[in-house]
Amino acid sequence: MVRSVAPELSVLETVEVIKPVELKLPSGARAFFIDGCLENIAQIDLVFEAGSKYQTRPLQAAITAAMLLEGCSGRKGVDVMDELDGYGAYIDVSTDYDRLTLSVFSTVRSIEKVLSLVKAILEAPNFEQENFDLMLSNKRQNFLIQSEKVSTLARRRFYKELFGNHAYGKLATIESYDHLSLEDCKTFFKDVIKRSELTCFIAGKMTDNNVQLIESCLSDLSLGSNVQERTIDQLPDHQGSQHHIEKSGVQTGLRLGKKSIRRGHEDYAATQVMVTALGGYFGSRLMKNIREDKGFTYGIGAGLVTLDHAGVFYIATEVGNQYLNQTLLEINKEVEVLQQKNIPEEELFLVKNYISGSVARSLDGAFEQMDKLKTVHYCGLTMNYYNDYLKEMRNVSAEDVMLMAQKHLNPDTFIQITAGEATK
Amino acid sequence: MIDYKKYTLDNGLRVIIHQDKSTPMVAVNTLYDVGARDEDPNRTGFAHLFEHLMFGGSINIPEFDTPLQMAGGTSNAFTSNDITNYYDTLPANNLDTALWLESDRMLSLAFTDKSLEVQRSVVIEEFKQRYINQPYGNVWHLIRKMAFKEHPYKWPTIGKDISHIEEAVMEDVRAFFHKHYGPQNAILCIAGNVSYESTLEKVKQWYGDIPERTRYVRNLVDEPKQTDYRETEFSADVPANALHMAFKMCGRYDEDYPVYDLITDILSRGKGSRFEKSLVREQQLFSDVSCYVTGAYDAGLLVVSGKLKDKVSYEAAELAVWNELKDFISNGIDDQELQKVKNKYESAKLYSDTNVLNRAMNLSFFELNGSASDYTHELSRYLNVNTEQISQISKRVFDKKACSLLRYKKA
Repeated sequence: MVRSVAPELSVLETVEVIKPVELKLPSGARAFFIDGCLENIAQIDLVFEAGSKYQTRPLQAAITAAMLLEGCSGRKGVDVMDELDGYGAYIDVSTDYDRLTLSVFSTVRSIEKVLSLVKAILEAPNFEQENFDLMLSNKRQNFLIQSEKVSTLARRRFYKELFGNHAYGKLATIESYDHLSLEDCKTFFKDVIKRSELTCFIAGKMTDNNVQLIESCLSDLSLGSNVQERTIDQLPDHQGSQHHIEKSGVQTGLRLGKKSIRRGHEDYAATQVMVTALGGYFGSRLMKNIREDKGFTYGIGAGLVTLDHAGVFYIATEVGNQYLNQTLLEINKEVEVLQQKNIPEEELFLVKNYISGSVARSLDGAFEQMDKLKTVHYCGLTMNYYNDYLKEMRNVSAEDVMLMAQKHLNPDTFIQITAGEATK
Repeated sequence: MIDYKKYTLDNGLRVIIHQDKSTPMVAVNTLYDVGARDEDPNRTGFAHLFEHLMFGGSINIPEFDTPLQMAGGTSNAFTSNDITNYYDTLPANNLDTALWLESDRMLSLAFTDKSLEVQRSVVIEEFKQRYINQPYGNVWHLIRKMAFKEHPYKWPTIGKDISHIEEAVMEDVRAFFHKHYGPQNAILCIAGNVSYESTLEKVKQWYGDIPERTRYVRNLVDEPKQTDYRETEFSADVPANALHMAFKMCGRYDEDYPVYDLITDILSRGKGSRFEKSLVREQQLFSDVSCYVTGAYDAGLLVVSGKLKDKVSYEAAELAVWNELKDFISNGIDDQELQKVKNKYESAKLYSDTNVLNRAMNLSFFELNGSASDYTHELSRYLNVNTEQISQISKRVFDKKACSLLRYKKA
């Protein structure tokens, strides 16, 4: 056995995807079932086209979503939660820019009772003033606590500058907590959630019996019918700009980036390879340079985000105040190198292998596959995407990587945010 | 039921193999029986700094991460007060790569000055990012210092002070490696799409020639029984007053541990829990309040933590918590309330066990205490807890004379 030579590698060319069973519910909503779990458990995500982009003022979508767990059909919220607890179920409601998701996890043996409560929650939420006031004041305090973090300050400001007046841009400030009313929530529920397209994603042990059981539980759900089409423009292009938020402390939060391409774009696979090489994994160029060579930070990363109406490229880190200027120079340098020099073949091979492994890991298990199904579904793709993507990624050349860096990383268009104590 | 096989190599390395044919991946988990509790009080934070150095190259391999990533894998590690745990996940047919890397750094590190210099700096930035430049970032420094007078749980894994990290030298690094990183001090668990026999052969091939090193015998002082109520106040530029109450409890492997854990669930798990109903909703004293166990291996802490709402006094908030605990102690709970938290525990555990890395970690944790099979009995231990035990333990734990209370005040 020779320890100085690496064992032979096998390259992962394809991944196994579970083909979902698709059914149409009487309301018109679509339901996807993913079978792939030995235990008799299920996760059911009800996804509504009701993200924050449809809100008329900041916080409206998120607070309306949270209010759904504050009681229904005249029953108090704690009683409803108590009953769900009794079944050993977990429920969570969340919103992002594009969608609202009610997610419930339960054993299959309790699923009928759990889903009957979920239906009541969705059909007849209470919206009581007292609960609303208490929730808003508690969330307000948490917002203030989060505002102490330089990473949060930099991230919020980045999205504010990036989105501007677009529908994505109605972002919360502390004042938003004084301006939202219970009426706003009722309106959002009635006009947006109840009139939005609904898609159900179900994963777990999906035997024929379990699928039938869950389908019949969901069949009398009225939501998902009476859908109102709404259109939102793509995010327009933006100029580069630099912004500083003064905040005393020992580190500075840094976030920079720009509008970029979305998953599904013809450049996506090559750009993903390029961004991964730059800052998408532990051995990336930014990590190697700024953490592992210079020790300026605990971590630095770059990534691509796909939203419905925009892609986003970002780099984020927190660095010791005294290292900020050098960090910015090094980031610029790394971007320039990618634009001017071919990535060495060995590094390119490594990045591709790393990405294949990550894709396989992210598809390992029924719940993970469900997560990925949601990702591709809302890009207008199917689960075949992952093997197509791996194949396309394998064909990316060093020239492609350089070309993508030139095309998609023009630093003149970067929005740069620093949050911290300005060094003298 | 989780099937696994267990072997011990001649050099003392304990090996657990768990087969799961449903995943394309394999998880390789290496637990070293060393944590912050094993540190010199003048060199705190060292176990964690050492964890960083484990990625800085070993005797035959200049870099740990590059070959693993080349094999489609990813790796990370964490240090607690009790253990240091390293884990890799990668496509199962590249298992050899992980074993090659892990065995080489068990054999010997490269001990380069550059690695020490850079990781000292990285850990200092980590200290700043997580414990200084965060609201309430130093709260565990304060709680541990108050609650433990003798036991090394009195400092957190990041260390008492940045200066301890700044002062670390190569000599300390070598000594630490030889004392704690031998095969006799480690548990290796391989879980995923692998076969038992060929995996054992691979393990023997990669680890068999690593010499056994002197066995480290842990000899820590027990924390004396706390008989005095303690309180500390700290002021900082934070947006809200926070309250923490730490109580003494048994260690992770004690038979009573599930009782303590379920007590915290009854008090604060979910919106239907007692604290949420009473302290957040009815009395509106806290914006957020939780109760949890730290999961320490030696006798540890059960903690109540909350953020006070604006204009609520500490006096009123503390009184309300004590009243809630008093009610819990004197009136106990009925079977239904207990069944509720058991059901939640059961479904959360079923979910968590679907992940192969979670299984690998848990098998290792339980093996450390003598038997990985305890992991497979964990669920029944929780389901067998009765209301009488809840009542008994709650009387024991919520003792004001053994409480350490921290008021983290808005300056």
